[in-house]
Amino acid sequence: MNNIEDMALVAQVTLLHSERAFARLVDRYQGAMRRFFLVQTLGDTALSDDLAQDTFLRVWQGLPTFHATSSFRTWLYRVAYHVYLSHVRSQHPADALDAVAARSLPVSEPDASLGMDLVEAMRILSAEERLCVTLQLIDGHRIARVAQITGLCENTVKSHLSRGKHKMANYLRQNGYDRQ
Amino acid sequence: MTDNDEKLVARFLAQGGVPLPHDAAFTRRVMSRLPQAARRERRMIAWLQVACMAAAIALFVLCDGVGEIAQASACVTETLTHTVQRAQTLLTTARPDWTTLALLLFATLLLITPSAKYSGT
Repeated sequence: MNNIEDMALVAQVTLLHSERAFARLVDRYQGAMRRFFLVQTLGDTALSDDLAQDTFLRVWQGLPTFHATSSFRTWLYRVAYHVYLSHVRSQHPADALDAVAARSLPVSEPDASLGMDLVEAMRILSAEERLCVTLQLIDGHRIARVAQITGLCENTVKSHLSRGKHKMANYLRQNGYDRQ
Repeated sequence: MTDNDEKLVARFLAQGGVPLPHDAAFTRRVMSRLPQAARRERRMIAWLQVACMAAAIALFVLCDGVGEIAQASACVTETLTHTVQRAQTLLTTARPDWTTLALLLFATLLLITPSAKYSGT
């Protein structure tokens, strides 16, 4: 149902150039996008808002090239993923995502919008593990869709997820979460 | 990774309640940052489409499009009626000509055989 509504809004934007329809799309997905970036940046609200804005601006420019081969939601996350990659590469050109992300963790305290424990639990993951865990466990994408968004093959996604969840579970056990 | 790991992580994320922040000002900021040139261009295209549509409707009305369509549909109806009537007459009056039927069958077989041979390749 959501997909049908999305497609109706996308059609209004591409065919009728309706800014009102685009505003509704932004309104609909701004929470999910800001949360996605908030987790990737380990709680940097200002940066995640900037990245989410860039994502929507790219979507506005790229909508005429969206041919609905996937759902709008998947396409949006794919754009968001590329915005995040571009940001990481602009900070540290010619480096792999993991190596860069490990160094680019915020030195300052994260904003209160993400729980401290969640930030710490996410911090121990590599960037790709964090990305896959966020997409599956927080944003609710299936493995095939995570693969589609990130461009990784399904087995790679599965191993990132497995390692990421194992690391998180160990961290949670060390901090007494299993006794709650 | 075990099922326990999976459950523990899922429970933690559910309890931690990763917030889904909604900010109306965010939408306004995005809308105000849309590239002006693209907005103008899109608005112009939209107006152009409306103008073309209006011109097409005006031409249709001015050139008596409704009358033309009515005339064409009457012609099609007449042709169809005539064909059906003729077929009815033929079926009721004509006797089956076995030679013609045999020739038709032969010709059909001739047409089908090569096409069946090539369709497999």
